[in-house]
Amino acid sequence: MENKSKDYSREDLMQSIPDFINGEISDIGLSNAVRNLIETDNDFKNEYDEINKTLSFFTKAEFPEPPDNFFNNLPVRINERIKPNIPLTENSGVFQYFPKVWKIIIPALTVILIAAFFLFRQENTDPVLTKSENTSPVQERNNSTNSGSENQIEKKDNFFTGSDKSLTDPGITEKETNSNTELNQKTKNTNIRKHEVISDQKSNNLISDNTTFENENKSEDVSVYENNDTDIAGTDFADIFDIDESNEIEDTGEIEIEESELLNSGESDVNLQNEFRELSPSDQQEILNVLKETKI
Amino acid sequence: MNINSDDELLIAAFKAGNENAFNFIVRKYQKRIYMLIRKMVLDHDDADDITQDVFIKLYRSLNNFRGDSKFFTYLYKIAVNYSINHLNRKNKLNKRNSEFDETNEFHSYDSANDFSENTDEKDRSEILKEAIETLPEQQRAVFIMRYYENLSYEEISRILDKSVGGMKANYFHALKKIGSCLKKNKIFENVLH
Repeated sequence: MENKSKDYSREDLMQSIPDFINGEISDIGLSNAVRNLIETDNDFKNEYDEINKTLSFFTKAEFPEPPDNFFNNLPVRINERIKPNIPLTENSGVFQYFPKVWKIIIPALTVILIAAFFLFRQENTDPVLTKSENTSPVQERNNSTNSGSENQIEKKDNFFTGSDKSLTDPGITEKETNSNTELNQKTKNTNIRKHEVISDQKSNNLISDNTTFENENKSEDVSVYENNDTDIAGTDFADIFDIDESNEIEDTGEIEIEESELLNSGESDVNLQNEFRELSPSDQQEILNVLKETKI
Repeated sequence: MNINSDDELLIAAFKAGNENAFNFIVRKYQKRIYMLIRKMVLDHDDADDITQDVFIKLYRSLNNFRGDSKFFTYLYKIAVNYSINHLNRKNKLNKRNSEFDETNEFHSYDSANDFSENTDEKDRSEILKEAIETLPEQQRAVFIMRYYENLSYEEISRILDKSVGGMKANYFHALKKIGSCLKKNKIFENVLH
């Protein structure tokens, strides 16, 4: 089998058969070479026939069309998949200029600052209430009782000499009185309960420190007490009594409860009561005044 | 500006920020691209997914299109590459189930005798599918672009980044393979004569 055309290899001519069948060869020399080879070469003719049949089959067979409206919906679906990307460039706002870390830190800091501001403000606007709740008299008394008997003796000494700051400080008494006026009836009730607890504790203190009281009372000269009466009443207690009448009424009411509880608090209380009755009226009055002022 | 506007005008409008220009491009080429992909992958759902992927890829890369080649060549290149990648993935999956495939293949050839007797009843598109499925990815792409899309070998070579001679050879061998497949199924005797 010889190639009729010297310019084209057999392989080139064979690969040109499909284009020859479809009439798509623009090179006339190539087209003539293929035609000549088909006419003279049987093997080449067989190749030509087979390819011609194959191409004929394809002209009869067609690919099925897609469903109706497919091409109407396709752009919509493409846009739906693209659109999530579009807002990133258009609507990301101020945050697009910040790195990702700042996107988290800035909102977090804002929330923390706002929360801190409100907490701080709340503490400032209601300091008395927080003080009464946080450092209640019960806790203060407990602290004092836990500090030992020596401190208690010192406190009592200081008290009688008028140097106890907690008693003589008008600021503290004012805060306490203010708290009493601001609290509603419910809180008054809770205060009464607190004072009941305090009175219980105080009664225990009185029992435990009974000896110290007795020792002090016995060791010190009574005349000194009498002389100091006027001083105490004239100086230190004047500040302490510098409160509203209404508060005074409330305080006295509370103390009445305390006294009644003191008197009804068991055998030791009976002893204490007896000892109290044995004291002179001036001493009794003085102790009562002291109890009133200390709210014990 | 509409669906019949020049590619250059639509691309320039898109680069200028006109999103509508892209919609016109989609509507202009969607049918050709879908049919090209459909003939390559032979399945409607796959063709649908790949067509969407192709246009999304186009949307993201159109700003980088410099116009060195024709726009439709650029678009066809994306479509053919996506189709070939899809076929490669599918072939890998088929290889994993090779035993299963061999059994199926055996049955399909076994049933070819029945098939040849009822060729007229059998959908020709199914025969076409079976024939095209025998082609390797590149031969398939060349055959479809040459036969169905009437692209020149030069255009096909630009799309696939191969030589013109190679494309010509691919097309010829593709036809030979399809012909032998049809012969094996006795299609020529029953259908063509």
